[in-house]
Amino acid sequence: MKLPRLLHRSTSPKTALLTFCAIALLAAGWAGHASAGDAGAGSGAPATAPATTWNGRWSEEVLELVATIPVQSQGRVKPLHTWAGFALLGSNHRRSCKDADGNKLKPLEWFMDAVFRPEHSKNHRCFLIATTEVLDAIGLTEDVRERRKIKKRDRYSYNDLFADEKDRRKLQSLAADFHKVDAKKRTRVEMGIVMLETSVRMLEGLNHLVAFAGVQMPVSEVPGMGERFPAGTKAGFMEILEATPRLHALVKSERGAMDPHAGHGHDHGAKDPKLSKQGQAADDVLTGAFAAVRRSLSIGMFPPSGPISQEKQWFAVTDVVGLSTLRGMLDPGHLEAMRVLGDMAASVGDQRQFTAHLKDYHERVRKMAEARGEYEKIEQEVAFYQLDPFGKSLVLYLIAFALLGVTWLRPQWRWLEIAAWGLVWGTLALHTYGIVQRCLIRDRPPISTLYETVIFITGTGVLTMLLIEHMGRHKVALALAPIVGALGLFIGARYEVLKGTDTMPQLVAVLDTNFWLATHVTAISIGYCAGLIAGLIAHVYVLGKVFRIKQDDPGFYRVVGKMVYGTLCFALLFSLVGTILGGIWANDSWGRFWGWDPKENGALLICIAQLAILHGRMGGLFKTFGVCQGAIFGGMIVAFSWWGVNLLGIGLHSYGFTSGVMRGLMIFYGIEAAVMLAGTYAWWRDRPKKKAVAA
Amino acid sequence: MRTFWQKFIDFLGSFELAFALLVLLGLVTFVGTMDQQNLSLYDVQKKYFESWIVTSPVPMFGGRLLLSVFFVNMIVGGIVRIRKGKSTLGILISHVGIVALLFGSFIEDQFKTEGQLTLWAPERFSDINGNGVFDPGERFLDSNNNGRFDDGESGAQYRDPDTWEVAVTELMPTGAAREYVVPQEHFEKLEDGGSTRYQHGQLPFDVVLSGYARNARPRPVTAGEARDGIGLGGFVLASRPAVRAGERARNWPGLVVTLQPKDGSRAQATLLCKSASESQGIIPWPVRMGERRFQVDLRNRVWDLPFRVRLNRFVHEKHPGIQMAKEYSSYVTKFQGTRATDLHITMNEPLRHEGYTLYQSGWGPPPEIDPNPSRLYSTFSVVANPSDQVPLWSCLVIALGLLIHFMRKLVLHLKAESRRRTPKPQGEMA
Repeated sequence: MKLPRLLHRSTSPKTALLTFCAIALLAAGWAGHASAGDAGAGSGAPATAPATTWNGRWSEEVLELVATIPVQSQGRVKPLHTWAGFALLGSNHRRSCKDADGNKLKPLEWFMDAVFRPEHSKNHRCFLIATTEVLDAIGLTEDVRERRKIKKRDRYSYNDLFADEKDRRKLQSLAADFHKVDAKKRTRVEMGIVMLETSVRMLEGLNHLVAFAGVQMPVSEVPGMGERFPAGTKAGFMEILEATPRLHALVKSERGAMDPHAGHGHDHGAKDPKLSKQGQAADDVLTGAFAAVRRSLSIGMFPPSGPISQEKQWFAVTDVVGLSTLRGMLDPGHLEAMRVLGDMAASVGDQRQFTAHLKDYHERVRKMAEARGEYEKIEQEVAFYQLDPFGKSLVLYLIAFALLGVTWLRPQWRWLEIAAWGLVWGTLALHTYGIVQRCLIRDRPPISTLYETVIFITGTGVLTMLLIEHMGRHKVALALAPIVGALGLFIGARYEVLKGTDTMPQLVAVLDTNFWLATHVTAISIGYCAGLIAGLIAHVYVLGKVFRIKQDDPGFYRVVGKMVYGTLCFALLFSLVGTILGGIWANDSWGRFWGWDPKENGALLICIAQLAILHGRMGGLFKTFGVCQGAIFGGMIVAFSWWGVNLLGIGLHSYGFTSGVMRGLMIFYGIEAAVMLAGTYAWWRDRPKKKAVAA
Repeated sequence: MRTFWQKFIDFLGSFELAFALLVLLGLVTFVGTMDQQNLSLYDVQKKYFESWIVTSPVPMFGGRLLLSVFFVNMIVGGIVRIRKGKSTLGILISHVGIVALLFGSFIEDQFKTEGQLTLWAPERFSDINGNGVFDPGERFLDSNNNGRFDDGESGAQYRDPDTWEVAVTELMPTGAAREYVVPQEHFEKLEDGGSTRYQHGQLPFDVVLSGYARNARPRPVTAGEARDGIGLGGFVLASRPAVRAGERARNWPGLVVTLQPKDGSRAQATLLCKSASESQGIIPWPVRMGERRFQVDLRNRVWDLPFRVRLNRFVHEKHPGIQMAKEYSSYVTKFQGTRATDLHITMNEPLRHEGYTLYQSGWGPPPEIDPNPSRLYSTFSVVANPSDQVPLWSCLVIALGLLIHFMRKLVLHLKAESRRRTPKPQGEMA
């Protein structure tokens, strides 16, 4: 009650308007900051920046080329732009990090530094440590932290954390222990340790990705190489790699067919009595070559030369070297690609040279991928992430809400209302464009992951609100539409950060069906959406009653009540049909229509709640107020079905488990329970008065 | 003055009852869902959803009772007594759809059989015994002589890994076998004590089952128990707690079988106990009665298929570079009479034939047991469900009904809104 009085007393309409705009713009800025979207590599310096202007930052030309290099990771081929974005997001909970001078780096800049300037990258603050207990656990005591200026939960660089090698070993050892603990049972600190180790290991893997380029070995006793590299000189890694099939054949012939692989690759330095002096030298070189790449990150960089039907897995640097040293198999295309990669590493200081080698590498890999039909979506995906439609939509929804807020204070500004309406529609168009782009990139219906349910349900929610507004023109749904959009996309962005992994993953075999994803999943998600929307509109009714807003306008409450009822009917249609379709899918997959699995029960609970509300209303057990209270409760059940049952960690649908969601869910339940309690109090408070009036 | 029965019928078809049933059904569904963290899915189904009354953690009506009454409520209130007209046409249709769905579920509950069929590739027939073919004989008996299996052409068999049966097999001198089977639902009630006698005219003895335990292991009798004459062959069944959700172990049942010869000679008895390792279980039990030879076994329930299936090739593919499965596919040949048909069974695309459906459900050997198997096996879930397609048709009917109803409501609402926005004539305003 104090807030409205304060505004009435001390705030003129102009001041209120300015304050509102300021708050909205701040919120928009904050949301944009919180969004996991990438502002895009192309949004900085012009792409025409000359390659020779090397000043410690990678040129836009280099970054644009690197963005569209295809790699294979987590079972799919994707642009390096996507890979780097999610790698940094997983490590730093942001798609950016800062270098030692405080400069903000984009994911590809971080990636390029990590690969081609390893020592430099060790000063980048790219590790988010959520709790100082993690620092305690890895042995960074208070005085050490004081000395290294590490004081609180923050983002740290490799050198901040591991100035002492024993700290690194401690982390490794702890993570190995905590890996044995079931992921769902790990404490916050244990989870932090495991995640930190994963991130650190990834950075180390990147640091070693092209380390082979600097490797040189004495080969004077190796047959066929001694002439070119006599004693006192060393051969470069690429000369050695080129010779590996021949050296492997030599070792194999001396060992016989019994076990051509034994003796190198695993037991460095061991002598094999079966080998001659030359054979032993060749074997040592093979062992050394493999050891040179052993620590590099295992990411598929080189497409197989054969068709995709025969070989699906791409080759990492370790695979190429491993196959040549252990089996004598070396693809000439991979050899050349690795040679160019080495040339890039050797020319880091010379931007012009580096860019030329990069172009060469890009061209080679692109052609190999294109020949297999695996490049066609790469540029589209880069464009999608660079546009960042969901991050931008989030900001635009907030701006639209701010504009609508202004129209409440200045109702005579009709043009502003039309502009706000147009902005919501425009933002929804951008939002929808993002969803369509994802469908095209994945060749999938709109929803196949939990993340996509958030994006889709949000878009459907905004559309539903706009349609309701179009039917009634009461401005209630119009005001709620951008709130739904912003809130939903904010949750999506937070979820993306929480997961920290590619949101376009491959699907398990049972989900690999576009028909059921398009029918059951879409229908049930629309049901979720409508159930939540009904609950949201019901808040207007209940909170209006609680705070006695528009008490003298019963028509307002009648309209809101109708909206809730209509949306509930819409929700029931999709929830019921979606749930039964899910049963039919289960019948086709597992041989039973209904198995009382938690996810199935969650969907059933939604249907039951909606049916109960509608039957209670038809039976005269309660009226509009009861319907609205029921709709809020129904929203809680939707949240239980959508997120809650995944947290139980049981059942056939446990693929949706996400750690860290519980807190958000509990906050939601708490707020909704408070609204319902307040509503019940208002009903009790106002009831006697109605009787008195009637008397 | 309305009679009691009229009031009762009114109550049965009332909105109030429908509302109460929905609330109670929601409650039991929620508690049953949460309890899956403690109990296995099977136990939760039995306790909450296939029961009439739930006694713990709080007393409440069970799912079976609620759904039964709901079924009646919907027929009485939602179909028979509902006001018939344009305004209720959609509701009526959707009620018919839901009733059909519930009826289909009832049919499934009563008549569905399911099990598993494991085939090795290549050239391995689905006859699980590998050699020879069972004479199907008479496969079921109890004192009421109901539930007899059809005699017919022997075919492939499939097993239900979750339910058990006691099989008395007579081994014929010709090499054939004749089976007499008591399914689990007949003896699981013995868990609380007591015994049941089964008879058949072809058998020279009566079969008495007792001492059933859902999860048990045999253990040697103690000296005290031996003194008191407890135990069979020096063993007793030690009951164990039932396995809960999330545990890798499973329940292994045990019971006491007593064969009482009809000629009055001395009865013979033994413990039958199944175990994860065949060597630990006391099965099967060979028995000789005069010249006739029998064996008594406690085994997973076995069903017959009217056709044979041969696995030609099994494909298990992962997504590149990760352990996530991309595809499980079985390429099979179905034999029926002289006809052979090549078919493909994969996830979401089962084989449906003659009322049976074969689903891709597993494969092996697991890599941790055999990293480089010379051949793979494929496991199918086999389901015979007379109401297999009822949910699909019900879904279409319900969707149609709800669409009709809500579209009508929407049109009426839009008309009302249009009227509201149209300016009223001057005279009316005055």
